[in-house]
Amino acid sequence: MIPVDFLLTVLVVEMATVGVCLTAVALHALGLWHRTQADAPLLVRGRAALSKAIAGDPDANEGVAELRRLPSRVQSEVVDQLAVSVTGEEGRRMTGVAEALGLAASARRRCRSRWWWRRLQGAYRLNVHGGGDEALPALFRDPHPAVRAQVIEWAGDAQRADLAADLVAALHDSSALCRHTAADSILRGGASMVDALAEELSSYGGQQQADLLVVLARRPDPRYRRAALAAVADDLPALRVAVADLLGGVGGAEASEALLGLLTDPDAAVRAAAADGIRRLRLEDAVPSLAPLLRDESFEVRRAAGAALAGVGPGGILLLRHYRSDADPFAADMANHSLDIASLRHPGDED
Amino acid sequence: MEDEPEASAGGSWGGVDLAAIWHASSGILHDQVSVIERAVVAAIERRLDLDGQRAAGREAHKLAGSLGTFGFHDGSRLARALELALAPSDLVNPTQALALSRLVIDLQVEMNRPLAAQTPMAGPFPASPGAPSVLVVDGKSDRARRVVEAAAGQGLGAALTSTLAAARQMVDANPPEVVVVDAAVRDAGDLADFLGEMAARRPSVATMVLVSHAGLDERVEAARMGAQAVLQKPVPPDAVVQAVSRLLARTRGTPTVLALDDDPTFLVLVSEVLGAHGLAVERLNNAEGLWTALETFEPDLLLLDNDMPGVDGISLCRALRGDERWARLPVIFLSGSGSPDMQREMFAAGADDVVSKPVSADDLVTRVVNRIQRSRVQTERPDVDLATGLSSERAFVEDATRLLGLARQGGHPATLVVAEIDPPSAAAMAAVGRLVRLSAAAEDAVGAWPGGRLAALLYGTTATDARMRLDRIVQATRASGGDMFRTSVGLAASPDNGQDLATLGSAAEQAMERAQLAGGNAVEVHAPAGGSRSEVVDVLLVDDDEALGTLVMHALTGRGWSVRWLRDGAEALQLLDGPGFRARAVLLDVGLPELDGLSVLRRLGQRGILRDTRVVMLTVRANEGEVLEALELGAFDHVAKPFSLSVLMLRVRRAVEGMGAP
Repeated sequence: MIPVDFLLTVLVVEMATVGVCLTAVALHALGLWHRTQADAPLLVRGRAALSKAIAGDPDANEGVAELRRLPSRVQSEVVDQLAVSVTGEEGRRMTGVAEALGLAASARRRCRSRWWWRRLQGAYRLNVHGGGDEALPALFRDPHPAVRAQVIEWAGDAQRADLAADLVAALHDSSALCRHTAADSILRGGASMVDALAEELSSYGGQQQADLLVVLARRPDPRYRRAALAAVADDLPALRVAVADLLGGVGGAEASEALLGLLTDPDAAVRAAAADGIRRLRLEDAVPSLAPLLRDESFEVRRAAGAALAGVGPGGILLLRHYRSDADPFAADMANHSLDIASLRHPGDED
Repeated sequence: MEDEPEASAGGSWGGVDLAAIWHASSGILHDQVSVIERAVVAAIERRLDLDGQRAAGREAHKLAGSLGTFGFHDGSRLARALELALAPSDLVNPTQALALSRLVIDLQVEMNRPLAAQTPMAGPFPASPGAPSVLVVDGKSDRARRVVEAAAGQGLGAALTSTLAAARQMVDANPPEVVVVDAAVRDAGDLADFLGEMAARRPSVATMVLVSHAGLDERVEAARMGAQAVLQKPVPPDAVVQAVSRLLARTRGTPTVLALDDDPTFLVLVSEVLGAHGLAVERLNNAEGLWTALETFEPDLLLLDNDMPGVDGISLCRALRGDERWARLPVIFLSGSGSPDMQREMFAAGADDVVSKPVSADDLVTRVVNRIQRSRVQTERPDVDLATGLSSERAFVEDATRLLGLARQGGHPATLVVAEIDPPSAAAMAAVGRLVRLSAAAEDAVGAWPGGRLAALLYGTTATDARMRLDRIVQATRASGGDMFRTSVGLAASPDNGQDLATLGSAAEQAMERAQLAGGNAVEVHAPAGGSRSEVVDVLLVDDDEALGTLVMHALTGRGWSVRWLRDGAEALQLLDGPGFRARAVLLDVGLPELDGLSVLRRLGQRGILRDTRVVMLTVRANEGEVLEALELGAFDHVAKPFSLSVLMLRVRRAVEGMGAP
C-alpha cells in the first residue's frame, strides 16, 4: 500500500508543476499582449513609411529611412502584410525596400538553414516580397515537400522559361501537394513559358508526357500540337486520351484529321475523348464518322458521340433524329437523350 | 380585271380560311419534309441513290409552292433552295448534304411558326377589301385597257366599262373607291349628274375626270361638277394610276410619308416596306425639291436621310423647324452614323426619332406608324404637348393648381416633380414623359413645364415616396437611353416646401439644379436653406486590411482626391445610404467583416445608390466567380489583388471622373 504522505507529496509537486506552467503561459500571453500594444503605433508608422517608400513618391528614401528606425520585427511584419497585395512597379519597389532593410538577405540565409521550417519561412518571404531569383531554384530539390511546394508556387509567378523543366519535373513529385501546386503553376506560367513547355512536352514520353498533356490541355496552345500529334499513335491509351483532349483544344487541319482517326481507336476512352474533341472543334465534317459511334459498346463513347452530333451542326441533329428509331436500342436511347439535351427536338418527334 | 388574291391577317385568302387548311394539311407537309430529311441523312451516310434524291427533290418542289401559298415565304425559299440542290443528276455528296441539313432544320423551324405570323401583316391603315379600287369609264377601249393593266401592275384592283350607264350598274353592284371618267363619255345623261351621284353615295366614291382641252375652262367645269381630280389628255396610263393612288391615299385617309434619300435603291425599299403596311410613300432623291414636295404631297411624316451630297439632313431639319407650317411635321432621321454625338445633334435639330442604317424593316414600320398615329392624336388634342404627349403647360398648370387646392383642403400631401432632359430632345422627353405618366396615379397631373421641362403633381404622395418612384424612372430611362441623355429631377413637397404651384415650382427647380450639378440622372428633394449640407468625397475606401488601406489612402490623397476610409461593410452601407454623404467612387473590398463587399454592392444597387456612385471592387485574383458576380451586381470595375497601384489609380480616376469630379 502506498503511503499517504507520498501521495500528498506527489500531488503537491504536480500542482506546483501545473501552476508553474500556467504562470509561464500567462506571462507569455501577457508579454505578447504587451508587445502587440507596444507595436501597434509602430505598425501604423511602419505602414505609412512603407506606403511612402513604394508609392513612387519623390521622398521615397525618407520612407525607407523611417522604416530602418523601426524594430526589425515591425519592418518584417509591415512588408509581409503589404507585399501580398501589390504587384507591378510597386511590387518591384517592395523588393527593393526588402533588400534595403536586409529582410531579403535574412530570408536567403534562412533558405540555407538546416531546419526545414526556417527554410520554409525564408522561401515564403522571398516568394512574397521578391529577391529569391538566385536562392529559390535550388530549393526545387529540397527534402521537405512544404519547402518544395513554396518554391513551385513562386515559379508560377516568376514566369521564367528556365524554370519550365523544374515545374514539369514537379508534376511527378512524390508529394501530392507539390504535384497539384506544379499543375497550378504551369497553368499560371503565362505565355513566356509556352515554348519551353512545348520543348519539355517533346522530350517526354509515356505516362509522364500524358500527365503534362493533361495539364496543358486546360490551357491549350497551338505550339503543343506538334508534340501531341507525334504521340497520337502511342501504345499508352492514357497518352492517346490526353492527346485527343489537347487536340480538341488547339484545333487545326492536322488535329482534326488526327481526331477523326482516333474515333476508331481500340480503346473506348480514346474514342470518347476524340468525339469530345470533335464536339469542341465543331467539326461538322466528322458527322458521318460520329454516327456509327452511337452504336458503340461503351456508354462513354455513345454519350460523347451523341453530344458531338448535337453540337457540331444541323447535320448532326438530322443524324440524331434518324437514329432515334435505330434498331440498336442503346443507339436510339442515346440519340433521344442527346436531342433532349440539345433542346432541339422537332415538335412531332415525341414518341 | 379580276381581283388579285390576297392573304390577310385574319388568315383568309380569297375568302378561304387559311388556318383551317393549314391545320388539315400540315401533317402532309411535314411528311414531305421528312422525305427530304431522310434523303439528306442518307447522303451524309453515303447511301443515297438517285431515285431517292429525285423523290426528295419533288417533295421540295411541292413544299415550295404550298408554303408560299400559306404565307411561309421564308419556308418557301428554303424549300426552293433544297429543290435546286437535289435536282442535279449527280448524287449529293456528304459535304453537300451537311450544308443541306442546315436548310432542312431551318425549314422545319419556319414551318413550326404559328400561321398567323406567316400571313402578310395588314397595315394599320388597310385598304377596303373586296371591291375593285378603280373603275375606268372610257369609250376608247385600248387606252382604258392600258390604264387597267397599269393599275394592276401597281397592285390596284381595276374594272373597265365604256358607258356611264354600265358604270352606274357596276358601282351599285360593287362600289369602287375611285371612278376615272373620260369627259368624252356622255351617254345616259349628263356627266355632271353622274359625278353628283358618286359624290352623294355613302360612302362616297371619288371621281377623276380626263379632259381633252388645255384650257382652264374644262378643268374648272369638271371640278365644279364634283370631280376630285382632273387630268388633261393625252396622259400616260402610269400617270393616271399615280394620280389614282394619290387620290386613294387622300380619300382613304392613308398617311403619306415623304422619303428623302439620295440612294434610289433605298427609296424603293422604303416604299415597298411602308407601302405594304398601307402607307403612301412619295420618294424624293434630292433636297432641292423638298419644299415643293412638301407643298405638293402634304406628308404626314418626313423620312430624312442625314448623309446626302451637298446638304445634310440636320440643316434641312433645322430649316423645317423654323418654318411655322412644317414645324410640327414628324421627322425621322435615317442615319448611317450610330454615334451618340451625331444622334444628339439630330435630336437637337428637331428630329422626332433616329433610325440607323442598315434599317430593320419592322423597326422602321413600327417607328413610322407609331409617330404618325401619335401625331394624329396630338393634332386632335390641342391640350396635349406635342413633344411629350403629355398635357400642355396651360393644361398642367390648371390641373396642378386644382389638385393642390384639394390637397390643402383635405390636409393631404402632394409632391411637385420637375424634370429636365439633357440634351433636350423630343424623343427623350417623350420617353421620360411616358414613364412618368405610367407611374402616376389616375388623379395625378403630368404635363409640360416652362423651359422645355416635364412636370408632375403627385397627389397624396410624400417626397420620400415620390423619390422612390422617380428613382426607378430615372434608372429605367438611363437603362434605355444609355449615354444619350441624362435626366435630372427635382422634387418639392406640399405643404413642407410651399402650398402654391409657383412656390413649389421654384423649390423643385432648385432641387433639379442640384441634381444637374451632381452629374444628372439623379433625383433631389428640395431642402430648405440652412439645412444640413451633404459631404461629397471623391473616393470612399472600404477595406479592413490596414497595410493595404494605408498604401491606397497614401496614393489617393497624394493625387489630390478627397477620401474616406472605412473598415467594415455595414458602416459603409449606412453612410452611403444616409442623406448627408455621397461618394463619387467606392473602392470596395470583397472580404469585409460584418457585411461582405458583394452584399454591400447588392444593397447599394437595390437602394439606387449605384447611379450616383461607381463601385470598383477589390477582388481576389483567382476568384473568377467573384469578379463576375461583382460586375453583374453593378460594379463599375474590379481590380484583382495583388494589383499594381498605378493600374488601380487609373481605374479609380476613370470611375471618379465619370461621376462629375473636377
